[in-house]
Amino acid sequence: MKHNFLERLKDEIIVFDGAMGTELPPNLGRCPEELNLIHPEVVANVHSSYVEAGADVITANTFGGNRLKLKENGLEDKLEEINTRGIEIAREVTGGKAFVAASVGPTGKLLEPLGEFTFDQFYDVYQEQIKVLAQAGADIIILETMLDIQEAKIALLAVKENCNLPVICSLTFTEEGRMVTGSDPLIAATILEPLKPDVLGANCSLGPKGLMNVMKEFASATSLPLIVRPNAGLPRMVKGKTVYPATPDYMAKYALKFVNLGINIVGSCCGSGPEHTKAIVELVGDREPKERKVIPKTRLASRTKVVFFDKRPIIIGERINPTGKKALQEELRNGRFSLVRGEARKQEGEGARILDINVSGEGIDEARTIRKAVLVIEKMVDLPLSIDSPNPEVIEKALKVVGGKALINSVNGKEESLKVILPLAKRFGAAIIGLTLDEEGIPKTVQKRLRITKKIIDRAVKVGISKEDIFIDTLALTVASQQEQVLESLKALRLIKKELGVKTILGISNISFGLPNRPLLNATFYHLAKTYGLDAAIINPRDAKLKSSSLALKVLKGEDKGAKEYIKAQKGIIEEEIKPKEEADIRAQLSGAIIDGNKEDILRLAEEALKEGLKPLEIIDEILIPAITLVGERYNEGTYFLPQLISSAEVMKLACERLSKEMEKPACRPVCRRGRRGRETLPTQRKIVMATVEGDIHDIGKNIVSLLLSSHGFQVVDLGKDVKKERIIHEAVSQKVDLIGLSALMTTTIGRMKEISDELKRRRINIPTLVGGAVVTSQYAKRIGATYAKDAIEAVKKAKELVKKGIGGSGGKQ
Amino acid sequence: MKIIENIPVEIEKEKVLKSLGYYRKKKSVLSPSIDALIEGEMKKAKGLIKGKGIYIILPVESKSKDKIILKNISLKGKAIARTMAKAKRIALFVGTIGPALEAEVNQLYQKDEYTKATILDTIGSVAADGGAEYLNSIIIEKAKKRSTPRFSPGYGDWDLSIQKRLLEITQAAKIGVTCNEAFFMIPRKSVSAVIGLY
Repeated sequence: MKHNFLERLKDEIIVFDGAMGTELPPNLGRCPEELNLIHPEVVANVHSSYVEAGADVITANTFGGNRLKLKENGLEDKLEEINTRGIEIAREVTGGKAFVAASVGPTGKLLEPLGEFTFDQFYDVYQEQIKVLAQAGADIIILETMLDIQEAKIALLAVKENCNLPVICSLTFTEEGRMVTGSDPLIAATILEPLKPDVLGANCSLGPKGLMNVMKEFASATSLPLIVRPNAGLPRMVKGKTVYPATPDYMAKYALKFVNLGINIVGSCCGSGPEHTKAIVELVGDREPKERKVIPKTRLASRTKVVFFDKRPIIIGERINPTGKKALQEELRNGRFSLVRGEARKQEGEGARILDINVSGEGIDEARTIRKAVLVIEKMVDLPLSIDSPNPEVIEKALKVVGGKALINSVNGKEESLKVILPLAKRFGAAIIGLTLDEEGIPKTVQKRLRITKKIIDRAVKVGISKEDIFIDTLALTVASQQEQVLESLKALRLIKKELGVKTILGISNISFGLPNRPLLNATFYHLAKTYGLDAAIINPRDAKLKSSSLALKVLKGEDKGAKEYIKAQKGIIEEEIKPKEEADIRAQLSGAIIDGNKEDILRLAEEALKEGLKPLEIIDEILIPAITLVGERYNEGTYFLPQLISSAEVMKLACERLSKEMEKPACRPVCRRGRRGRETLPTQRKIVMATVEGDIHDIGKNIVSLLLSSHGFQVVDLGKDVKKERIIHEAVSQKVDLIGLSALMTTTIGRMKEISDELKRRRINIPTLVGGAVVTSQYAKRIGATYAKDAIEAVKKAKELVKKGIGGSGGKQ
Repeated sequence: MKIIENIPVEIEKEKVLKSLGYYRKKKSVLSPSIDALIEGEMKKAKGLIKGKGIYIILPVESKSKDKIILKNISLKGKAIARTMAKAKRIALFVGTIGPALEAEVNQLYQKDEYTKATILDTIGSVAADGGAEYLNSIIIEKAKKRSTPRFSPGYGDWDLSIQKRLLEITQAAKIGVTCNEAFFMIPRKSVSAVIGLY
């Protein structure tokens, strides 16, 4: 046997052992790892059965051996002993016949913003365990069953920085093909590859069939060797015991499929035993790995989204930057982020694919602020981020919380910059923007720019950054002061791309500084740069949508000297430019708050809107209703699920309550009356009584419908659950409602609906009734003369229709 | 009749997400803010759930196509008769997670915290079902017999009205479970069911 694991990996299929946890007798010890101390013979037995089955690698019993996990069982004092013994037991059993992999599982805790733990705390936990494992003589470290990409990243860093052992990073996916926190295999590969694990892959979770797609995605996403260790199928409860259905043959058959896909290491996980391993060894143990060809590509990622740079230039939104924005400066100084949120969302809507974040400014604690800004923005949008600062401390703070693969904006050719920024990029697996300037300043010639670029690439590659992760910015200088430099910088861009094969990027907006109608110049420069092969543009995404202008083009090409013609033509627009509506797009902010379910800011935003002179009805009708309608559409198409729908409705309800107070004021009445007469039927004044019928005490569904209705402007009189017929009818009549909404959940209570409907008919009360609930059907509703809605969204739709009919038709009330 | 105190209730996040419609159309995105809410409520739920169960095993006295007769109680309906066809004895059981969680859900609604309330309520349902699953497995383990699937009042044509009798016979009041006239169990996050042993 060759002694180097990595050597063998090159030309052999490696077979890992199967499960440890499910092979151990239950109820022995406080956790499986404790057995290393109190029943080493039991652990050794499992290992030796796998060695006999022919496994190439034995996984030591150290999966839960980190401080946080051990603490749950009061074993944290034994950390060193448990991990050391774990490796020793495996080592004694294998006797050199198999490699010993030290297993490192997740902490079981969550990182901020999802949980309370920080990067540094997690790093310390992993570092502690990994040092012990390496010291004890493990051959390989395998990080397994990782649920969150950021945690996997930290664990991987801890391995790379604390030992020289080969490291395998194995993740776990849900039936959606994503990690619990949303990353799919392509995203995971994008984020982890720069950290240089030796092997990447998946274990546990789905069983072999379910992992097939995951591994297919991995196989096309990375050229790294791959590992797969599926469960023995999905567990079922049989007779109070968990049973895994996959037979050894079945597992082996899949192992072969995986090998044919180009997977290098196969094994199995929970529910499998030595017989599975034996079958796998027999079928694939002697095969050679199939070569996979994956062309390395430039890509960035957030936790849930990946961005490639293949086609048209990628727009990087530049607007989260307090330079020249007083309100934003003020907000950041006070540690608030509502404008940042607003800009993030707005730029995403306008086509930004990546967001640049800059929080530098007088009186702003940049390191602290950027950390918070990243957390806030990642909650709001799922775009990859560009961290905009020259300060290594700031960059580091940001990269410790970024959930994806970020871009560092920027490094330059100066020694002081190269020395500190490049190692940071390497450490956190970020891509970099290299500015073509050095100690001598910005070069005037194309050749000098090329030379600086070579230096940056050379140094970056030396510290271990891939060429694909380097963007070069040839610097767009202000056309007003250095007109002749515009084309120089573009020519340099074209040459660098051609000669050195790196991606190119430009900060567009600097070009127009000091000139009128900047968006037009920016847009024109952006379109011009495209023709020179630009790959990414840092720009106001709104500008990128404008068409270029021949007048502006002349300025950029130096044909309109001093931009005289241009300035003349722009007169009249200048005024508008001086006070741009920078921050205060209150409409977008309000709408964003609804869409994101942002409860924190909604009331303040509503006040601001009123202060700006917007009419309450206008706010509801033109801003809030379209926003909540969009939420409904997202829910219907499935991108939003129930909690998102509800949290948006919750925010909407808060806003409507505040605004309806305003409408009760005299100044507003005429508007409402017009609504009453029904020309524009806003439901603002429409009343519905809601109840869960007598005997029925389950009111979740009814509550959600009530909330949605009030978030669409209905006045909801919610009578609660278990409500008697008499009370419902009494309230409906005395409160002069337009609609009655009833919910019933059981076969024993559905009959109440008919009783109510019969009673309404008997007393000739003509109020339409809307019904719903688990047992109610549209046929039943029809039979009792009511209208059926299948869910809360449909209830709103039907309620609106019924109200409309009520106005047009004979619908007078008794 | 046997009472099981302190049923270990594990809440599976996957199941909570599923019940909340996360997998409905296979493209839902779990936003970090919602995820944080779910995590928070799951944490809170742990302190609110007190899993208890009670069960009794009765021999089958006679059975036909649409009826299983036990001592003091008959299970009527084609579906239940079919499901219990092989059974020699039948275990009737009731499990609950107690009233604290739903009290908190109601509190949350009072405070207009609809999202949290809905999430916590869903967690309660998942926990109650998990508790029932656990009870189910304990009963089988102790009886050392094979079993039919779990069957609850209201499934198929098994009339919900049996609920009352089922709670009486299992003496579910001892673990705090009763039902109202519409046969809703109180606390709501409770499960009643039977399994056949053979």
